[in-house]
Amino acid sequence: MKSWLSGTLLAAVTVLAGTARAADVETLRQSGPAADRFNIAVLGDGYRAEDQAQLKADAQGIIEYLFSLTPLAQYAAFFNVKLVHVVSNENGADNGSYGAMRDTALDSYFNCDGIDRLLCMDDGKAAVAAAQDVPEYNFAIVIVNDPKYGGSGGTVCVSSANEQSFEVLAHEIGHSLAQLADEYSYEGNQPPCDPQQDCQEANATLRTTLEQIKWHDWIEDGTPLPTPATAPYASVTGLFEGARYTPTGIYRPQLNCKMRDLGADYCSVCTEQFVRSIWTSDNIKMIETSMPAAPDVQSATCDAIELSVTSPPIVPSTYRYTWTVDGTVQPETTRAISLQPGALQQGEHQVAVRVEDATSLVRTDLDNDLKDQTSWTVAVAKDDCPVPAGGAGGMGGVAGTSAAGASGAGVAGMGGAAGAGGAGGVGDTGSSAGSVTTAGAASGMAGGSSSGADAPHGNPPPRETAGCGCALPGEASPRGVAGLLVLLGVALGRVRRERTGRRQGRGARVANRRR
Amino acid sequence: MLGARIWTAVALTMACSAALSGCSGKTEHGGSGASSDSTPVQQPAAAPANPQPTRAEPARHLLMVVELEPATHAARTLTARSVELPLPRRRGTARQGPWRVDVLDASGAVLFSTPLEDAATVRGEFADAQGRLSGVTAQKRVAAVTLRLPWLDGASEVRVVRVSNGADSELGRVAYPVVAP
Repeated sequence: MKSWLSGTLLAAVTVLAGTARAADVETLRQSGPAADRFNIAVLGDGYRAEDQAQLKADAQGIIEYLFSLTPLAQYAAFFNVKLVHVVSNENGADNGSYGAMRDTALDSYFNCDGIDRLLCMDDGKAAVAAAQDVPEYNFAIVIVNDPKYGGSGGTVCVSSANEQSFEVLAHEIGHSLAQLADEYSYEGNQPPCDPQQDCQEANATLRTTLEQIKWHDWIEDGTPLPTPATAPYASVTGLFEGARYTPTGIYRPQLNCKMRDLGADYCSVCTEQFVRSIWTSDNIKMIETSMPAAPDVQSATCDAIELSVTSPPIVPSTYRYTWTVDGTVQPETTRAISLQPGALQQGEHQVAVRVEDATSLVRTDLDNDLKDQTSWTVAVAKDDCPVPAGGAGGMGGVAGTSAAGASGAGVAGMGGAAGAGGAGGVGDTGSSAGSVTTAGAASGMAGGSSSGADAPHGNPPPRETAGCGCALPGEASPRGVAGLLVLLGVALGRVRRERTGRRQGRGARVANRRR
Repeated sequence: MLGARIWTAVALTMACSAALSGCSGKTEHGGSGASSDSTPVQQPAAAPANPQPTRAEPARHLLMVVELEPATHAARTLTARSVELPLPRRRGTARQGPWRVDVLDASGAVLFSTPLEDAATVRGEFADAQGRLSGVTAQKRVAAVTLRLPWLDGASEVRVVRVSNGADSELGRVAYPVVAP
C-alpha cells in the first residue's frame, strides 16, 4: 500500500505545498465565457522547456483537426480550448521512442497493463495540473511528446504526438463526449446489451425491425434490413451486422464510421448523437441571455417593447425561433421581437419564444435536447398609445425570415380596434403618422435585414426606433376621427400588399426549411 | 501566464473524520483492506434532492481531485480549490454513470450526489495499416477523479461509489474541505 494512504491530513498539506507549481497557459480557442462553454484543457507531457513551441504546434494541429470534423466544425463556438504548457525534464514517455525510463511531469508510459501501444500516465498528476491551471475545464486531453503510435481513452484522452494517434483521439472523443459505442469487433469482455432495453449507445442495436431501430428516421424506404455489407450500400444508413465488439447479433448504422474505421467520418447516426451530446454538455445553454433579463416587463410608455434572446453560435446558423403573444404565433422568426404597446393593449400579456436548433444533422430528438424556451410577462400600463396602422396589428415585420430577409410583413395582428391586420412593424416608417404609404411587405423586408438577429450573436440587436409603430419624435400621432379615417384608409390599402408579403414570406420560410 | 498562481482563499483543513477507519481511507462499514471493492454502502432512508449551494456566493463551486485505489478503498485528496464559476450544469435528462460521488454530512446523510465516469478503466484502440480498429481495456490500480461539488454547509465527507444494480460499493472517501475564515 502506498505511503499516501497513511493519512488524509498529511496528503492535504502536501497538496497545498504542491500548488505553487503553475504552468504557462495559452488560449487556443476562446468562444465565450467559461460558464457558458464546454472547456477543454490540453496538456503536454514529455515536452521540455525547449519543446514548448512544438507542444503548441502539436496542440494546434490536433485542435484544428478535431474542429474540422462534422459536427464539431459547426458547433466549434460551443468550446473553449486552453493549452497548459506542462514542462518535463525529459522528452518522450517510458517505454517509448527515447528509452525505457523518462523523467516527465505526468509520468506517461507505454506498455500500460502490458500492452505495448497503450499509453497511460499518472491520472492524478494530469488532473491536478488541469485543475490548477484551467480550473473551469470539463474535459482534458494529454499529448505525449513521443512519435511512437499509442494512446488511451477514459476520463482523460491521451495521444502520442503521432498523426495516426490524433485520428484515434477523434475516435476516443466520440466515446467521451458523445457516449458512442465502438463498432468494431474484438475478443473482449464488454457487457452485453440488455435484450429488453436494447444497447444503451445511440449507434448500436439488437433490433432488426424498422420501427424498433433507434435510428429508423435515417433509413430510407427499400433499404434491406439487415443491410448487406456490400459496395452498393457503402454510404447508406441501414442495419449492418457487427458492432460493439461483436461480429454478429449487434448492428450498426453504416458500413463505415469513425467508430469503426479510422479515416472515416462519423456516420449520420453518430453525428446526430454527437450534436445531441453537445447540447447536453456541461455549461451549454440554448438560451444564454434574455433581454430584458427579468421575466416581468413593465411598459409605462408608448415606446416599442424590445425582447430578444441570444444563443451560442452555430455555423451556419440552424436556429429557428417561434414567438407567441398570448399564445398566438407571431411572424417573427429571428431572435428578437418588437412589440407595440398600442397593439398589445393595456394589461398583462404573455410573450414567449421557443428556440430550436433545426439542424439537418439531427432527425430524432426524443428528449427535446435541441429545443428550449423562455417567456416574459409584459404589463402595458398605458391605454392611449397609438394603435399601429392597420388597427391592432403591426406586430410583424420585426425581422422577417432571417436568412432571406423577406416576409415579416405584419401578418399576425393582435386583433384590435381597426382589425385590419398588421401593417408591418419595425422598419415601417409609415404607420405612426398614418400618412406615409410605405408598403407593409417592403418595410417588413427592411425590418428583416435590420434586426434579423439570427446570425451570430452575442449582443442583443440594437433597439429599433424608426418605424416602431408609435409616434416618432416630432411626428404627430393620429388622433380623433380624422386620424382614424386616415389610419383606416392606410390599413385597407395595405391589406392587399400584406397578403402579397405573406405569400412571399411563406415562400421564403419554405425555402429555408428546405435548406 | 507564467509564474506562481495564487490559490483561492480556501485553505483546506482536511480534517480526519472520525468516521474513517483510522484515516486509512477504508470504508466505514467493513472492507478492512480486503481486495474486494464490493463493500455495501449504507444508504440513507431517502436521499434528498440536490440542494442549491447554501453559502453566500452561489457562483462558486468546489473542485477536488481525489485519488482512489478501488481494491483497498484507499483515497486521498490531491487538490481542492474553490472555482469562481457556478457548478456546471447540463441540459436534458439526467445521465447515469458507472460511478457516483456523494457528499455526506456528519451523520452520513447524503447532501448531494452526482454521477461519475469510471476513472479506473482505460481504453486502448489501435488501427492496422488499413485503419481497421481493434481495442483493449485495462484497469488501473490507482485512479483519479475530478469532482465538482457545491459548497455545502454541514458537509463532512466525500464518498465515491461504484454503482451497480442493487448494491452500490464504496471505492473510497475523503474529508470535505473546510473554507478558512
